[in-house]
Amino acid sequence: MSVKTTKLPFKAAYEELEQLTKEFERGDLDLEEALKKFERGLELAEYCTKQISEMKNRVVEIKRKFKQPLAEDVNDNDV
Amino acid sequence: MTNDLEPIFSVSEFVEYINLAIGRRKVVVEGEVSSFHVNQGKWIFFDLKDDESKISCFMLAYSLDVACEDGMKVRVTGSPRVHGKSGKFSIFVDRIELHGEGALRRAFELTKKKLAAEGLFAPERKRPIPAFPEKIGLIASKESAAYTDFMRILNQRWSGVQISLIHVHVQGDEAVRDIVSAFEWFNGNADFADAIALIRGGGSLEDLQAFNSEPVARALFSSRIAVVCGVGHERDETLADYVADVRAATPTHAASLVVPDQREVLSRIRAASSALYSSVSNTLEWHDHTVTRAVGSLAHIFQKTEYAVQSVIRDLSDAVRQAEDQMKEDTRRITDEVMSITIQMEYFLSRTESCVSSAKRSLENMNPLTVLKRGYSIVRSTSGGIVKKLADTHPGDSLSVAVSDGTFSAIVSSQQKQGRLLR
Repeated sequence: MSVKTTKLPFKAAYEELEQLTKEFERGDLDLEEALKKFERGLELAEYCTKQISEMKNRVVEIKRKFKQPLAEDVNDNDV
Repeated sequence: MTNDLEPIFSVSEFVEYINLAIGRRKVVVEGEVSSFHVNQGKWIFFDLKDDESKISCFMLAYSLDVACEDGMKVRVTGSPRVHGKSGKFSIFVDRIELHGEGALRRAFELTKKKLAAEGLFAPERKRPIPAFPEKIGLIASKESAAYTDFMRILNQRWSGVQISLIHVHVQGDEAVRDIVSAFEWFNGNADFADAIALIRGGGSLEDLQAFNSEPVARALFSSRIAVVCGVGHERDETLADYVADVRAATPTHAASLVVPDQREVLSRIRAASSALYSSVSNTLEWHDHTVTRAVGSLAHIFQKTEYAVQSVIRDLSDAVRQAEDQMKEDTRRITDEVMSITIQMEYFLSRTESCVSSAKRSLENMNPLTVLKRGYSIVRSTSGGIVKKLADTHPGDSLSVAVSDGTFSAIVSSQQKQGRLLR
């Protein structure tokens, strides 16, 4: 499986994983397809798990006093 | 009588003079509302009174951001002025603040009724919060405990989110304007928020006024981005709560509604993985089973064929064996017969042989020469005939007597009948 999961938004990865699970539940995949999708599913599951455990929340404060919106880092995930 | 030192005004000049003198500074006056009415939907007139005095108030309808009716205790902020045409003294009101629990409660009910009638709380317009928001617009006071609590729960539950905070006053004069403009900003910069959270800690009805104000309610209503509202404690209810797409009981509850719980999601991912595993192994098992069954069927067919072939072979070998048996039987019979014949032949031959030898012996015994040796003689007459009885001879006949080793002649001298033959 050469489809890259890097840069894939979590939501997309998770939804794809759920979609794959549903396809498997329907049970109408032929063996070759099933193995491909199985591999993809595991790849997505690993990616999602990694995303959750490695990503951090980030806070920026929007200063509206300036004419143009200006984003300023308040802190990084330390609240 | 005139005084040169005192200026002389025209009426208009005087009104202008007064207005300049007293209208420069804002005043705040507290009192009870009476004779409240709205003219043409644009101008509001009412009196503000206390036990002893009364003052007229005038206001532009769009400036009114609270529900107001007679009997309410309010604080008005505005400029005193004299109306030129009528010469009436009044306060030109910029702002009305409700004052006292009763007024606030009443205003709350009035606004709630009005907004409900307009459909701002309609459940069918509520939108869901995206399942996995990547960007959250947060409208809060950055100094508040609500903000700290919200972030703590958010960080506990989920990660990878960018939170854009717009710091607002959550009570006081600037609160409504701050909150409304924060909504405007997020809606004008939709890239910053997949969902908006509006939060504030608990407080009195007065503290929560901004969240019960009509402009804030309308700002939530007109937001194109779904809004979670978590204001106050569990028991607090604000109009912002009613209008929000998702109503949270508290700021921490808002955090738990705006992002998923990573433990839950991780367990769903694990469940999905194991579902994939079991599906694939079931599929493999099924295929394996199918193949095994096919092989089994083939084996069965082969076995059946083999049985058939074996049966034919068995039949054939039975037949061969039978034929062999028959042949053996026949051979045995023939052999027996041959044996029997041989034995009979041998017997016959031996008997014949013995017969022959006996006959030979008999013959040998019968041989006259042999007899001669035993002392018998052959007597012949002259005619050559063998003398067997007396009658064959006559006295005086010459006879030839043959003994074992030759012949001699004799003459019959006498004849006696039945004499002694042997001595």
